[in-house]
Amino acid sequence: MSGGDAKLVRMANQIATFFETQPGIDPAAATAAHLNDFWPPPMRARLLEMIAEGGTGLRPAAAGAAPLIRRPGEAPVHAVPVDPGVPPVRAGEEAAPANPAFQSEGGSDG
Amino acid sequence: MRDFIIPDDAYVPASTADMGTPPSRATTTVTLTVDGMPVTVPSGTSVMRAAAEAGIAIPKLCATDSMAAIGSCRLCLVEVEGMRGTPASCTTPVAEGMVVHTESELIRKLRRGVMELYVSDHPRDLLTSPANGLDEVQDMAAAVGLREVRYTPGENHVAPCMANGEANPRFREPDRSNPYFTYDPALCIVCMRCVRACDEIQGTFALTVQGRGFESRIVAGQDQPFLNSDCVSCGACVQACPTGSLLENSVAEIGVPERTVITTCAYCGVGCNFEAQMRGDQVVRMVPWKHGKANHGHSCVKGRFAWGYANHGERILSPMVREKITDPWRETTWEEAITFAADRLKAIQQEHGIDSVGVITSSRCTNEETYLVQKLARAVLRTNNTDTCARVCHSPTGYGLKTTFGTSAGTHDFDSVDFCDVALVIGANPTDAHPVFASRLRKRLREGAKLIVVDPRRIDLLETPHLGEAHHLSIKPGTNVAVLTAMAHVIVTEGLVSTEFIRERCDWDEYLDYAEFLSDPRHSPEATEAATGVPPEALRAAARLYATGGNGAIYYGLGVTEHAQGSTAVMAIANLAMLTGNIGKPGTGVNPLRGQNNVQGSCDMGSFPHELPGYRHITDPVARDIYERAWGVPVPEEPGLRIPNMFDAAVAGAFRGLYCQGEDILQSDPDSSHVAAALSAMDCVIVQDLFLNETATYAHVFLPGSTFLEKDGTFTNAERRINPVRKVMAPKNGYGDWEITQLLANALGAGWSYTHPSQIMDEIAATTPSFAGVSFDLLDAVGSVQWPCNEDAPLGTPMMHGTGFVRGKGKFVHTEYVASDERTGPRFPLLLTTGRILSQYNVGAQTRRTANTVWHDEDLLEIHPHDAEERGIRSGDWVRLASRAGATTLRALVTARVAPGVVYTTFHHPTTQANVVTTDSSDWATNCPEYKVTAVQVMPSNGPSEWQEDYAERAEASRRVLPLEAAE
Ligand code: SF4
Ligand code: SF4
Ligand code: FES
Repeated sequence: MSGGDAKLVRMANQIATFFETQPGIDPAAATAAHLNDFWPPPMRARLLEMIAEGGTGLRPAAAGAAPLIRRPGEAPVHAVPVDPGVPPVRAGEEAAPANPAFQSEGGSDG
Repeated sequence: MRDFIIPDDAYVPASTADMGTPPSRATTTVTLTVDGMPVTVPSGTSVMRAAAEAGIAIPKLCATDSMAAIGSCRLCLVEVEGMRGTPASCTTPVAEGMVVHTESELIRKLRRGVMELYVSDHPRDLLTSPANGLDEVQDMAAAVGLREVRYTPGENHVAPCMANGEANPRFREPDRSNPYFTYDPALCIVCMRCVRACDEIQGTFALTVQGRGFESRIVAGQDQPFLNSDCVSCGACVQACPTGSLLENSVAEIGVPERTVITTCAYCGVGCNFEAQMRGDQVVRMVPWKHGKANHGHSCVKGRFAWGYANHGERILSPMVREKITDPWRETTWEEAITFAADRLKAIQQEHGIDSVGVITSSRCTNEETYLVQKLARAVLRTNNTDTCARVCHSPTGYGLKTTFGTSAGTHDFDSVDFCDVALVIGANPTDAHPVFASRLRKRLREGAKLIVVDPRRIDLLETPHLGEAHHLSIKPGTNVAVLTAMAHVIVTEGLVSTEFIRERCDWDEYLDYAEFLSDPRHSPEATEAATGVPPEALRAAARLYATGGNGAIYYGLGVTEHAQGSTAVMAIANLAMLTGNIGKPGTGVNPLRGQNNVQGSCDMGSFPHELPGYRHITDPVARDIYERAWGVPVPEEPGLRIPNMFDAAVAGAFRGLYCQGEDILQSDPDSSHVAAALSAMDCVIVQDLFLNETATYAHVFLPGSTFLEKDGTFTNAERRINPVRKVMAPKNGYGDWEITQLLANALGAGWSYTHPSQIMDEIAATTPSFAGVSFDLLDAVGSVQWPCNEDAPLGTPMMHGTGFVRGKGKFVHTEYVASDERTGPRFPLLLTTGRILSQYNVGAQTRRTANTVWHDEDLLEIHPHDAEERGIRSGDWVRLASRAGATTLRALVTARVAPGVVYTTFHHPTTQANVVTTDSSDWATNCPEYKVTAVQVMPSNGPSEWQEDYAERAEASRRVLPLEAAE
């Protein structure tokens, strides 16, 4: 594996590791949400390729994120709400997160 | 009747008047008459201050409004009806119905007597003294009408020789050891203002009065030169000195200032306001502004003294270009340089695609400049490849606090520290990195607040004079999450949680879930000790104190964020505050100490590749629509490359053009050889900076930047405070940085027409809800505001989450400790952690070009005596510091401040290149580099490493400049 690929695997695994420790969520979906929100298209594209090639070294939540990762150039996978760290500001004002990983009762009324 | 109640912090632009004593915080008021004028003031106010508020200046020497009065000079005597004698007005509190007379025959006589004594031991001819015009002894002699001195010249401190021609044993030569100020004992009147300033304001306790009565004199340390004493050169004593006995050397060189402009320090995230005191277009001195809401008239050595870099001979004033990075630089015109840059960027985009170029801004730039650079990326280059150096310091703060509270910012203002009972300081070294905040914290600690420090190193805050209860959890680098989670474990399992707060402000079920997670024995301090190195009893005591000690405030720094689990650690901190109800009231909160002056602002301004200004995600169609209408172009909706991604893409050949404003990425980013490889792979690197920085070694275009003294704009400090920066002189390089960005944008076809930064702020306000109320006019009127500043909060928001979290309910995120990949092993058995020191700033580009180098002329490697002995290393030896990324050499300092197994260094000097050693490991959520943990080996060495030699050669070759004429 090239140095760049190894780094992608490491970073994807770090993200997956975090979401795997969160209760009551699908870690793969949350990982996909995070990647869609923070990773630029070329990095997502390369990760998808690597998953397609077997996803060597990737944690289950990272490899399992593939179907929900937005394909570069394609429309967003709307089923997946955005990552918690960046609450969608649909109202034009800072508001609450919508990632399943972080949604809670009252969490979206801000 | 005139109403003389003036609010505590009233902003009266013209008012620099010394009110004599500090304001009283009391809410009840008292009415009295002073010389027949009725005055209403808060109770507890001194008679002197009440008179000053009525516009009557009572003569004084030892009192000043920045510190408590001691009543020693007896010049401020007044008569109070019904009171015996003549009390000192500075130490006499007002009382209801008091009738005060500030002038009478008796008072005049007494005051003249006092002044006569002072003048008898004071230089009489100041015509050619640097203190001429500043010496209050002169002013007071005039004020009280002193006309004769009856004492014959006798024993004094003033004359080098006595009447009989022998050397005067009381005379001392001025102390010129400090590079910025001189202490001339001849002018000293022993009013103790300097001693009190050092104790009360700065908290260093470097000065004392030696001897008694006529023999008494002020000395630094054990009667040492200032430079060799504990003095940290904050200048508080210089500012407090009424006579010019302590005086800035710049005043001696230039003369007394004639006008004043209020501006903001461009160094750290405290964001001190200053009076730039000017003579013509020359800065004579910088004096911290007493109405500055972050600093209240105090500053550190950097802001007050280290501004000389603006005139440094190495500053580049002419634009330069070159075909290849191996060519010498060629000076050229602005027009050619801008065209050259724009053509190259266009060509790259044509050949390699829109996203093959990007921009990086610095947290040193103003909000307006940063906003323009991200606008250049998004609206002109049409890419979201924009990032800021905040990536490498506080990006996890943004992610973590947004997730838990809903806002990417600290919760409280600095003033809140006055109300805290327990300060929990994690991964921060405020006395060095945020000195003015440290002084305020130390003051609170002297008043009895308790201190908990979580840090691998024994920081100076733990050495605070008169410190009461203090705990130091000396952790192994990289185990913050384990320590913080263990603290939460103790709080939950010992029943110390604030159920009331959680029920009201958080989700109860979510709390129960988190409590269950925490209660697992694997999170107990006993279980985590093996990883963290913290004795369980110490951790339990600290957790109990934070939970039950009254108002608990958390202050944290890069020691929290710059880790593989940086974002998780920030969330763990937020959890601690919510579990204990330590948020939403004064004296509490979660307060990141931002490194550079405008870290907060550069994040606010949409510099991150996934966010528009105001933290609105780039995929948010509503936010994009606002900018599409404002800018008239479609805004790309995919997140762009972050700084480390840019480097990776450059090495892979996909990223080829970079506009880098005010940031030295080569020196400040981790894994220098990787950064160097990335930069050399690019077709066009445009560097905009004051000096030929290290990144410029790999640049094709150099655009000379301007200093904070040469432009208008705003910086946003760690408390979300938007502080004005004002132009005090014309830019030596010809343009403000915002103008340069505009030139480049227009050469790329943008058609912008800003004529003043205030128009840029207007655009920010119009498009960003949390800035809606901000304008330069508002800042001129009120001094500064803290965002959110909008219709709901027209004067800004000092404290956030007061009654509810921005996100609604506070969010408990589970915080499982994951050991960093960066682990010690047989090859690299030690952990390196990095930091900074007081006198130098960041990569040192500015401070290294000032006299601050007398305090720190090289980076040293701190190593524990045990590890040093094993390796045969003594203090001062050259050592080789190696990691899996690279190796460098520097000199060792053997000290028990670091724990065994841990080594520590700073990164201020380019020759050391500490970042050759740091690796590409980064925070899981934000890619913030893991500067604070690198597995290393240390060995004796006798010379520079290979990288240092190669680099030195290349850097020197690349700094060759052909002047403009030669090129023609
Ligand atoms: S400069 Fe600051 S630290 Fe030094 S003696 Fe004066 S007040 Fe104290
Ligand atoms: S460096 Fe920081 S503490 Fe020092 S004067 Fe500037 S803003 Fe204030
Ligand atoms: S000013 Fe009041 S005693 Fe000195």
